[in-house]
Parts: sequence; structure tokens; C-alpha cells
Amino acid sequence: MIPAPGRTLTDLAMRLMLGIAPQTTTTFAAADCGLIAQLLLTMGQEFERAVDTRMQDIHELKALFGTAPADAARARFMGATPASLHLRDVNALHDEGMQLLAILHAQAEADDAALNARIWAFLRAHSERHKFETLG
Amino acid sequence: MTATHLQPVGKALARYLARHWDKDVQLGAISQIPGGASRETYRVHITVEGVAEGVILRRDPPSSLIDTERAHEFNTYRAVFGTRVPVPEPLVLEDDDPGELERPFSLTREIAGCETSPATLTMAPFNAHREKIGHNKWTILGHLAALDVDTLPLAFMARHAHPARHELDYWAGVIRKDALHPQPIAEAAIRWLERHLPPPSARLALVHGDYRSGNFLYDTEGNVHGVLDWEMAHLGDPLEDLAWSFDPLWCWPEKHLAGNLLPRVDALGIWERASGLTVDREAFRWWQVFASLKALAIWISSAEDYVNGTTKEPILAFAGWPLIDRQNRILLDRLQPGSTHTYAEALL
Repeated sequence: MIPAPGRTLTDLAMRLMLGIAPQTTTTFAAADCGLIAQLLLTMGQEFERAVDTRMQDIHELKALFGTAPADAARARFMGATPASLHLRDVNALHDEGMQLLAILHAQAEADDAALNARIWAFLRAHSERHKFETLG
Repeated sequence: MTATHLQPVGKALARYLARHWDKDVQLGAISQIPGGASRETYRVHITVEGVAEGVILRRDPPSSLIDTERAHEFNTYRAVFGTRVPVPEPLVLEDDDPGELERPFSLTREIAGCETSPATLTMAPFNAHREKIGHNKWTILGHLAALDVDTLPLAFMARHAHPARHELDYWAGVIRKDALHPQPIAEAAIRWLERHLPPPSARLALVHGDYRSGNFLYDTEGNVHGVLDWEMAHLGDPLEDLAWSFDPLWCWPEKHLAGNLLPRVDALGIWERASGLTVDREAFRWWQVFASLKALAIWISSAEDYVNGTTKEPILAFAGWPLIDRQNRILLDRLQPGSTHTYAEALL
């Protein structure tokens, strides 16, 4: 059993980058190693936080929709929970919320400056939450 | 250095060229060039009738980052070669009968002794010449903008009455077709671009479409010898290339130097002097936001290609994941009212 998959992926990335890449005999292979290592680092970060970041988004979206004009689709979303905490199920509800947000954003831009500002604030928080630290 | 597994590709090329040119062609060394997800790229040293020369072979992969046609890029090389915009000499385009090489390919003459990597720009000895490289980079782009498209053999390129309208429709369409998840920041950018659409371009120019650090050849003295990767070239507004070259993505995480070379205002002045054109700042704001959206569209498309396509190139996954995250933050910085500009300087 690997008790900390995120850290293990990071360890594998470092081994690939610092141990294996220097032993390759072509620039192409070394570049490939570097790229795969960066992807492993990305996966390492995402593995640990994927469900948490999406659930935070879902909670904040529900709070945001609660300040918006009433709407049946948004009301349904506000009452929904993921079918499970498997990433695919969390993603499904997260996608639904983000799609509703895009629709609401277009409306708010036209006639509700305060709501528009709250949506931008959410998008800022959302993007910071999903940022990959190793990549800047 | 020649990797053993590349020998069949090199030998196949030598056989093809011997037949195509009806000359004695022998393979020397072959290596694969990293980067550039849209083609397999090889540096091949051959001798033709005993004379050594270097060529660059670009062969189609089964799947590609950007949906492009090899003939389009090759014919653009043909149109530009010999002008003040330096490009590799186009040699062979094989679109229909690749024979020994199995997949369509193009061949250009190698411009030897140069670098392309954006990372190398920050290392010795190149970092001492960054200002000169930048000067050359935006001078060449100005020269490109100044080319008279009516005198170049560019009949294969479509002319659109309103380039900004056309480009926005195209790339918004890519996002909506290929997005694997909802893209609220991209949608906000599309709405902003719709609201601020500039009037039709005053001047139609040849647009490179991907003019950035990484797509030109520079030497240890800071000279630029060739502009590469013309797959997205089209007729359009010359501000499109200028804005693209300024996108924060190409100088990440250093946001103060365009392309990691020069402050944006300096680069803009160089471009104006070389092109003889004056930048319309209102239109340029639009093209800067558009550039960030277009980059996002390319990353979204590459993610879709990685998931649903036949090629599992790591560059597609990389572009389609951390780069989407990064580009979203750039767009957010550009568009959020009261932005703190953490990732992108304010629009020029």
C-alpha cells in the first residue's frame, strides 16, 4: 500500500527528472522525461486536493446562487449533493454548477453589478484554489 | 547523436529523396527535435552527390495539437522566403504520396547553429543579448506586418472582411466544441470581446499566428536567423501577432518583459518603426484579450485531443491541464473589474 499517493507521485517525478533524464542519450528523450515529470508533479498536487477543491467550489456556488434571482435550475443545484465522493461524481455536480454560473454571469453583466462582482470574486477564489504551485 | 530507433526514418527519407531528386542521397545523422506538438520534427544530416547538408523533416503524427494542414505551412514558407522575414528554405512538400515515409511530410533546409528554446534565452551566453534578440524579434514582426500581401503568392489563404470578427468566431467555436468542462472565464472573455469588437482592420497583413519566443532561431550573438512554425498563418490584422507576442504566457512567471526579452512599450515602439504602422491602442486592447482567449482555446483543444485522440503525447496533456489553469488566471487578471494584476500587467 502507498499511504501518500500525492507524495509518491512527487517522488517519482523527482526521480525521473533528476535520476533518469540525465542518463538519456537524446535531447528528445530528456525533454520527454521533463514533461512527464511535470505532469506527475501536477497529478501529485491534484490527487490530494481534487475532491476538496471541487467541494469548496460547490459550496461557494450554492452560497452565490442563494444571492441571485430565483431560478429552477439553480434551485435544483442548491439542493443537490454528489452521488458519491468519487471524483467522477463530484466532477459531474461541479460541472453542472460551473455551467449555471456561466449563464448567471452573462445575466449579471447586463443588469446586476453587485452580483457580477461577486461572481468575479468567486472565479478569482476558484482559480487560486486550483492553481498548480509547482508551475507558478 | 543518432538514436538507433530513428535510423529507419532517416533511411526512408534518404531513399525518398534519392528517388525524388534522382540523385545519390546518403544518410548521415538523425535526431528528433523536442517541442512542437503539431508535427514530428527531425534534424537530418544527409549528403547529396557527396555534398553534406542539413535538413529539417516535419512529419504528421497520427494526432496533433492544432488542426493544421502541412501544405498550408509549407506554402507560407514559399511565399515568405526571400523577403525581409527570414524563414528556412522550403525544399519538399509531400502531401499525397509519402512513399517510404508513410505519412505526409515537409522538408526545409536546416538553419544551423541556432537555438529556439525560450528557456535558453535566460541562460548564458544568450541572456547577455536579450535586448538585441528582442529588437530583432519585433523588427522582423514589423517587417512581416509591412509586407504587401497582394504581391505575395498567398492565394491559398482566405480573405475575411472583418478579421477580428472571423478570429473570434473561430476560436470561440473551438472552445465550445472541445471543452471537456464548462469554461465560465472563457465565456466571460468571449462576451467582453463581443462587446468591444473593433471595426474591420484598416490593413490586411500576413499574420504568423504563433509569433512568440520559442518559434524563432537565434544565435549566440543575438541575431535572429529564421521564424518557424507557420501552421496557423493567415491573412488578418497585424495587431494580432503583436498582441500574441505580448501574452504573459510567453514570459511566465516574469510578467514585466514581453517574451522574456523587452518591456512591452519598447517592443511596441520597435514594431511601429519597423512596420511603419501606428498601433491603434483601443483595437490593441481587444487583440491582447483575444490573444489570451486564443491560447486558452488551444489548450482546451489539446486536452480534448489527449482524451479523445489517438496520440497520447505528454505535451497534449500538459497543455491541456496546467496551461489551462495558467491561462484562466491570465484572463481573469485581464478582465476582472479592479484586478490586482497578479499574473498579467494591465492591457497596454
